[in-house]
Parts: sequence; C-alpha cells; structure tokens
Amino acid sequence: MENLFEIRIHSRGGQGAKTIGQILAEAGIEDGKFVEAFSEYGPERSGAPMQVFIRISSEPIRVHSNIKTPDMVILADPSLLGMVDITGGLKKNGTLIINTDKTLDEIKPKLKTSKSQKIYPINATKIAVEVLGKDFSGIVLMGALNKINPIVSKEALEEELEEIFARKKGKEVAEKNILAFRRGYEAV
Amino acid sequence: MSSTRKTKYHALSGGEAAAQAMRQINPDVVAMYPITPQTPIIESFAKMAANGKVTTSIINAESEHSAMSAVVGASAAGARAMTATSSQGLAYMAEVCYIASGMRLPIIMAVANRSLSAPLNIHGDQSDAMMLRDSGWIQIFSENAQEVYDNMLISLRLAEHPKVLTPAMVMQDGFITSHAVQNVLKLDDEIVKKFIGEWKPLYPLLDIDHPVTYGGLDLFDYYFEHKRQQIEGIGNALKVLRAIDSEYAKISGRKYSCIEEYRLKDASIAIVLMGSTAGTAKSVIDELRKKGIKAGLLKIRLFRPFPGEAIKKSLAKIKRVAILDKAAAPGASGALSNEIRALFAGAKKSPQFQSCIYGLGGRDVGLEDIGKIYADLQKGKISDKIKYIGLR
Repeated sequence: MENLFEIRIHSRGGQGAKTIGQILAEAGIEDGKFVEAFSEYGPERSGAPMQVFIRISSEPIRVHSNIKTPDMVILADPSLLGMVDITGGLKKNGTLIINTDKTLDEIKPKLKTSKSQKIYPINATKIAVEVLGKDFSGIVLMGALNKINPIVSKEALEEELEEIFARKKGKEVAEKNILAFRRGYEAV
Repeated sequence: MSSTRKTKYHALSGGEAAAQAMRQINPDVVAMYPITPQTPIIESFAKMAANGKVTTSIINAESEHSAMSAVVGASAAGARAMTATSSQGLAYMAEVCYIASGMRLPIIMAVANRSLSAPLNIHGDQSDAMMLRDSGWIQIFSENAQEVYDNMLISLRLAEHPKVLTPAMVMQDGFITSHAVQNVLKLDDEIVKKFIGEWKPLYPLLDIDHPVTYGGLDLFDYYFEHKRQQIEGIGNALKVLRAIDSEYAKISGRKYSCIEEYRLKDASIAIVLMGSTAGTAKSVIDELRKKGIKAGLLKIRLFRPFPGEAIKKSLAKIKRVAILDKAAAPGASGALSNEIRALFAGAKKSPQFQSCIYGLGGRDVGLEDIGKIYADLQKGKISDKIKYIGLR
C-alpha cells in the first residue's frame, strides 16, 4: 500500500497520547480515510513509557501488527529523549516532531537521524500550558502534524476536537483545545 | 455527526463493535464481570444501558463463574442472554460453559482472546479459546472489528436456530482487535431487528403450563443419547451457517463463509491461521504474487464445529502448508495443526505440513515474520518439529 501513512507516538501513560490516536482516527474516518489507531500497553500505569500507533490510508487496512517503519515519529514527552529508540525504523525521508524547549542544534546530537529525515522541534508543553493551563501537549503536536502533513484535513480535525471536547467538557474547553491545535499548526 | 462526514464508516474498536452489535440485539439479560482486554465490551454496553439505549437487565456478577451461571439461568428461563470475557475469566467459567452447551442454551459470549497465566500476561493469544474447544460451544473467529460486529449478529441467529440450539463464542484478538480503533460499518437498527427476529424459546423454564426440567440427573440411561443429540446440534451449525451467511450478505453486502480463501485457488504454498494475523498474511501474499510466487492463505473463521470437509477441499492441491496456532498445547502439536493434519491422514495425496506456534502472550508478528514462513515453504524447508515464530 503506497498510500499508507504510519505514525508512531512516544509518550508516557496518562499524557493523553491515546486520545490523539482516537481523534486522528475519528477525524480520518470522517475525512473518508481508512484508519487504525492503537496503543502498545506494557504495565498500565501513569508515567510509564508507551507508544501509540496510527495508520492512515485510502485503502482498507489489513496489517494490524506494531508499526516498525513509521513515516512520522512524534515525541510527546521530552524526558524520553535519549531514553527510548525514537528514530528506530523511521523511513529514510521520514519526519520527526519533537516536543522540546531546546533548539534543533541542541537536540540533534541526541537523535540518530540521516540528512533526508526532517526534524521539527516545537515547545508544545509551553504552548499547552499557556493555552490549556496544563501539559496536554498532544493537541499542540497534532496541530504541528497537520501543518507538516495534512493527511487528515484541518477541518475534520478541528471539527472532531470540537465534538469530543464540547461533548465531554463543554464549549469553552473545546474552543481552548482548538486554539491549542492552531498554535501548534502555526509553530512549525 | 459532523458536517464534514464523507463516509458511512464509524471509528470503533473491536470491543466497541461487539457492544454496538449487542445494543442492536438488545438482549434481555447481560451478566458481566470485567477482565482485560474484554472490559471495553461490557464498559461500552453498560454505558448504552445507562443511557437507555437498551432495555437489557444487567447483572453485575461477583465473578465470571457467576456471570456464566446467571446467563445460563436467564437463557433457560427463556431470555436472550449474553456475556463477555477473556483468559482467566473464561477459565473460571469453564465448568458452567459445559452446562450451557449441554442444556442447549443459545447464549452468545464475546471473547477478547488473551493468554493464560502463568506467567501473568494480559495480551492476546488464543489459548483461552483452545482450552474450551471441546466445551460444545460454537467458536467463531474474527479478523478485525468489522468481522466482530458481523459475527456477533450472525452467531446469534446460528445459536438460536432450532436445529442448532448451541451457545456461541465470538472471538477477537485481545488488544490487537479489541483495543484498536478501525473503520466499521453498522447496519441500521431496524435491519438488524428484522434479521435477528424475535426469540421464541422452545422450552422455557418459566412456561409453567408446559413444565420442563433443566440440569436433571442423567446417568447411564440417557446421558449418552443426550450427548449424541448435542453433537448433532453443533454439527448442524455448518449447514445452517451457510444459509445465515447468505442472508447476511444480502442485507450487508459482506459475504462470509466458514473458511476464507485468499488467492488460494492456484497457490502452491499456503498458511492456515485464525484471527487478526490473516490481514498481515494477505499483504505478504500480494507482495509475493508480484514476484510470481504462488502464495495463498486459508483463514479459519469457524473453528467449532470444525469445517473439515471444506478445509480438506481447499488445501488438497497445495504443495506445502504452514499451520499457525496462536496457542501452545505443551507436549503436543497445536490444536489447529492436529485437526488439519488428521484430515489428510491416509489420503493418497496430501500437502506437506509445517506446524507453527506464534504470537504467544501478544508477541508481535509482523510482515517479515510471515514473509519468512512463506520463504521457508517456498524453499521446501519443512520439518516435523514445531516452528516457533518470533521466538527469541
């Protein structure tokens, strides 16, 4: 499947990376795509390193095993930098989105990337704290993802954010999350 | 739903897909006890019940043994009764599972397959299902969330058919399917309602004008005859399923069969397996076919009753076949492997078989693992010893 796009998110339990997978999946389906989103569950506890996998394609998805050669890797938790194999299996022309307060030159030595792989540092935590009042940086990272690769349309994602958060937490929270998403979009 | 919606698909995990089917069935009684990775099924269903989407009486049991006992009682009384479980939960139910099938109660149970302790592991393999393979339940396996949804509806009809009257387990791979959000098509509530029809129990315990006994003492006088009838009932499921599958195809556009052949007709090498890894094999096959390698897949959807005749027919002309069991049978070959090899015992012409065990405790099986199996088959690397796929 040449049009298959695979994303791997490195995060820690309790940071909402699973929610990102869910939002991308729901928005992707609303956008007319085939998707699959799942998490790798180790010991289920807050703070434990975890991975979320997302597949997006225009054809039905048949392979359900873990994603080993992602097109994009998102590092949601800065503290995992240098701790887990973030670049493992990343495609030659793959993309890395790193949540960090450091510059590209500062983090580059910690990442084993080739020249053809692009790295996008973004201080998603800072933006999330500013807009949402807490480190729900995944929404910000999703904005960055959408700017770099609009495989799921901006409209569908914003609509999904609106729907999910308005239903669960009310209109005000939904608006803040959409703002966080847009700030992420503009930051890369 | 939102205005940008360009699709009829819903984003559902396998667990949610099972719960959606349960909502549309609207069973009289659902007894539940949580266990990973089944919990999303009953969690979703309990939410639907709390929101008034169903009129089901929910029984929060104190154990799986009690949950199965409750649905046995409810089903004998004449209710449509369902439950769900995994792993240790199914093990704990085992005693009562035999009672359900022996009493010919058409209970539907969604199972998110998970390994058995020890060592403790919450991830997916099919050991729990294989443990109950001789329990007299229909066992139907699903490749993805869509098949979970479809199999739930189909198995209800199958279990309740007067010629079958046998409980059914609808399997999905734990986590891989139960927790993965995928594209799922649902039928309209009204269409499902019409498809499943109204349940008219033949011998309800609560029909006091026609008193019956359930679970009576049945010694050397009639136990054997009753067991023979039970065997006949589950055996009838093969033929009945064919008719229900055709009917389901008409309302859904999705045509199922007890087995699924993928590019098998002209294949010289093939893999046989059950569950979610079938999709991985299909992708590998497509790549191999581009290189001119005649690879195929036989996916077993119905494991009990075992569709031996259909399997024998579909494998008869294949040169080399790898049989993949996602459950170990320590001290013996895997269950699927034994069943399929037995079909060809004494046959003049038989494929060469390689028995494999894979995916225990949720060990990830990817394209390269499946590719390696086909490569070995192609090279004729076949041995009488069991191959352990992905073992370090």
